Amino acid sequence: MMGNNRTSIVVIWLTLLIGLCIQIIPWSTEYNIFKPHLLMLIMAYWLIALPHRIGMGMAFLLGIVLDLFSGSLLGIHAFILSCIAYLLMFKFQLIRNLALWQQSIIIFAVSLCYNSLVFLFQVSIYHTITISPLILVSSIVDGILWIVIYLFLRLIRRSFAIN
Amino acid sequence: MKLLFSKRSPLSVQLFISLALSLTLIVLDINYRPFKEVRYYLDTIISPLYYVSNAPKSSFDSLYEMSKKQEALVNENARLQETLIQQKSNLLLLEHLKHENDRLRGLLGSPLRHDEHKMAAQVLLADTDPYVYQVVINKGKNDGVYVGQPVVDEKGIVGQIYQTAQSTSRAILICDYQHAIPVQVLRNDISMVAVGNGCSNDLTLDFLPNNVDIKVGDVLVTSGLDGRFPEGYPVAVVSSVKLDISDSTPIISATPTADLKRLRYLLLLWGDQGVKHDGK
Repeated sequence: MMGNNRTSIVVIWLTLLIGLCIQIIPWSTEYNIFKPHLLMLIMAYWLIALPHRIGMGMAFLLGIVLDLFSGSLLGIHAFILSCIAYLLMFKFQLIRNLALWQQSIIIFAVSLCYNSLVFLFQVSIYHTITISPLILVSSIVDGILWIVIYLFLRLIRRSFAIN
Repeated sequence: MKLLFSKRSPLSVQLFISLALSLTLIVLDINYRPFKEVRYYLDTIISPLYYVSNAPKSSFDSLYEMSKKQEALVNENARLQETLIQQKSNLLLLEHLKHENDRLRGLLGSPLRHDEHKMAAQVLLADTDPYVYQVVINKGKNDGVYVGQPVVDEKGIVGQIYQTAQSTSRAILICDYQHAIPVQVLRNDISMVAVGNGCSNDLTLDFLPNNVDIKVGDVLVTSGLDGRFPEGYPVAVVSSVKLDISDSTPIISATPTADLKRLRYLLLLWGDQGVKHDGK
């Protein structure tokens, strides 16, 4: 039982690490608006599937790491990811039982929340206003990508028997 | 961490603690200077991951290099030799002009200009955050990089060092919203400040006199008034000059000369900090 426990933790961290590495790979500026928040999606899956394994503390830590990589002020992504973790864990049982397309709409809303919070922080700290409707695009990509991520991670979860 | 986020404490309490912690971090990072030390160590810890994330691109590049035919390589080599010879002959003349300039400056009694020490660096990571225009380079404090150090490429000023870690550092580009650089018009030495406006837009020129002699196509070079950027490096070319109809102030924008969207190799400059400007 103990060994299984350890593998499951390792697998969860490994998926998050891979997600982080893929997320920080630079995209060329033209396609940057389509860039999905892969780390957030993977975190969202584990939050919904196993809320007792990864929680608010994990979200906070991931946010700090993301802040270090993106060069933003320390704490911005931690704040945002904590909010997202709260939103998802608050109704995780409901979300878990929804159909896949309904889940993907929820993820779209969460991602929109993410993008607008990043924007709000930017405006309030640097006082630079650049309104772009393009933040919608990356949320849509997130919503669509959720289906792939969900199926893939469910496969991983079942094959490693993580619960 | 285990105690703070134990399973028994309700979700809202966890949220409250997380948000309070992150807000504290944000305030600390903005206001408290010694916090930069903490950030330096954290950046050093995570810097190996930059190499991991850069691995796909660099391995693709090296594969591309390997797949080149010998003929192409020979051609490229010949072409590079040719440009090198041309550059060298230009340098011969430059050496002569430099001596002459030094003698003239000596006669005028103004301080001599010193050669900068240069080091090549490679970009590991470009913008990941859509509102922040920064790049991570593969030289850090161990190589002598310091905060505020000018970064150039072969076409002009790129930006300056913003944060350092042990073996990597982060440079802010001149087109970032937070960045401003003092420039002067090459043609008539009018000085002004070029403020970043996002990398998809041009730089905005600020602190101008009301009727300024400037036209489209003027080259803007660093003025060296800030004591950070050495004088005379090209920054931008004026792209549009408009007049605000309400209060007749000129609105001038300029395109950076460096290709800020496709940065790969950069040069770090170690200027002589003592030589700021040849005024007096």
